[in-house]
Amino acid sequence: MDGIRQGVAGGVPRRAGWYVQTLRLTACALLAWLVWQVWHLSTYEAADVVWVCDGTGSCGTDHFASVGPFAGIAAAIGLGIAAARYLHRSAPGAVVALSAWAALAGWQDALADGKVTRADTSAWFLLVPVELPVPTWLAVLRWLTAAALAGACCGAFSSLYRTAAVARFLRGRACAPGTLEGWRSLGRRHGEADLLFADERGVRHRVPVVVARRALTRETVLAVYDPARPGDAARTRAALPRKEARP
Amino acid sequence: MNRARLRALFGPHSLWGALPVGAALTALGLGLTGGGRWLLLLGAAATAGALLLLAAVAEAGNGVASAAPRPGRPTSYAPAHVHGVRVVHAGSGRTLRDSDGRAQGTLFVFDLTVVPAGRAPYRVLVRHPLDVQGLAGQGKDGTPVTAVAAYDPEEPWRTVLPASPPPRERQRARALAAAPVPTASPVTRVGLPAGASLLVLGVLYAGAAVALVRAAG
Repeated sequence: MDGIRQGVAGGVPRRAGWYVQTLRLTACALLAWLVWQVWHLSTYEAADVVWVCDGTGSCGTDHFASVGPFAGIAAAIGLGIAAARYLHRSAPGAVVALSAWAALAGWQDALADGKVTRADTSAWFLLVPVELPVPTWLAVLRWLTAAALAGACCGAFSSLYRTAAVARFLRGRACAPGTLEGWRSLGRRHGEADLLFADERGVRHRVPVVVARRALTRETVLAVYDPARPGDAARTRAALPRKEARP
Repeated sequence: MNRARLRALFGPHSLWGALPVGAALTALGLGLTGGGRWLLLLGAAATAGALLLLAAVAEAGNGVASAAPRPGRPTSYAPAHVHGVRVVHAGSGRTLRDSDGRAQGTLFVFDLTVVPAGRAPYRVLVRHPLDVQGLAGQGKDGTPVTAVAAYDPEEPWRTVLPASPPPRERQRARALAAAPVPTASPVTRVGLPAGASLLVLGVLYAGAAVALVRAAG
């Protein structure tokens, strides 16, 4: 027995105040600028890198652009982690697109400034030195940017659906913490369950909903319902916010 | 904001803790005012990390659950209505299905409406590793449950449940059970967000350091 049966103070994830959001957005902006600068530098000055080989098979250089790709990857990972709370599943695609676009811009600027010509081959030390003609690099980076943007869009749609963001913000649905009971599997990835929640007037409802299998790992889910018709199964959904509400 | 509060905000902990923030901002400032490219990139990365840390500190301090009391400050007792008791994992905050509560790494979360004398009642969540005042075992038959809470009169978001309150306070709490539960809004933390003093001091350190370095040529 639980003793006292439960009230749900703090069941809906709370949005952080303006101070916290300003700090986080400023940090994300700094990291995005950093990612752009590092990748742009790594390709803009790729032709300036002079490799000094000491004859035993190992080469060194003291130019920053040589470690550009490594620093760029580290900065991109940092940006992905920091921006994940805003971009959700589109964060990896967006970060890769930004990095590829910056590298592409670096090469185009190098061409415009005469540092390289279209006939050159450039050894871009991307984890392993890869020697390709400059036009090939441009084409590779364009395709990579497009693919990453497509991935970001897919991630955005997936996150918007999973968190019911459209229903909550555009269609005026209300939210309440809810629990799922009575799981009935409908295949490998989805199942049907009863969503129990109390609407804003305190009336408890039990509505059958279809949810993804990962909802089973959550203690509470977010019930997204129409305030005018809370018990209507066609207008009620269970959403999975990005993180659980903490006490 | 009186002098004691200012001293508490910008005390020795803040002065030392703001040094990393100041260092990161100094690197960024030096890089922006003519330092090398390395310094600018490093400063940007370090500043981003420092800002994310400060945001985490502020968010932890602004949560719905109560903060710890400040040492050496007087606390006032007040009776409180208990809405419920949950058992959660200490790390993730996830509610446990069975409220056995004796497993390691669990916390009790008490949902209270504190009714202090002379101020408006407020709602707060109090976390404690033990089931203080025997609250989790009460109320099975629907009777209202009350408890004795101790709060900091200047910062009421610092509320705790004392393990053995004085008998007079316990009597007042029992008397409160007959009264209707007031609807109270959750207590909010007023004043500067947690960790804001670190940001302010860090900016001051960085401004001074950059000015010194640039003036020295």
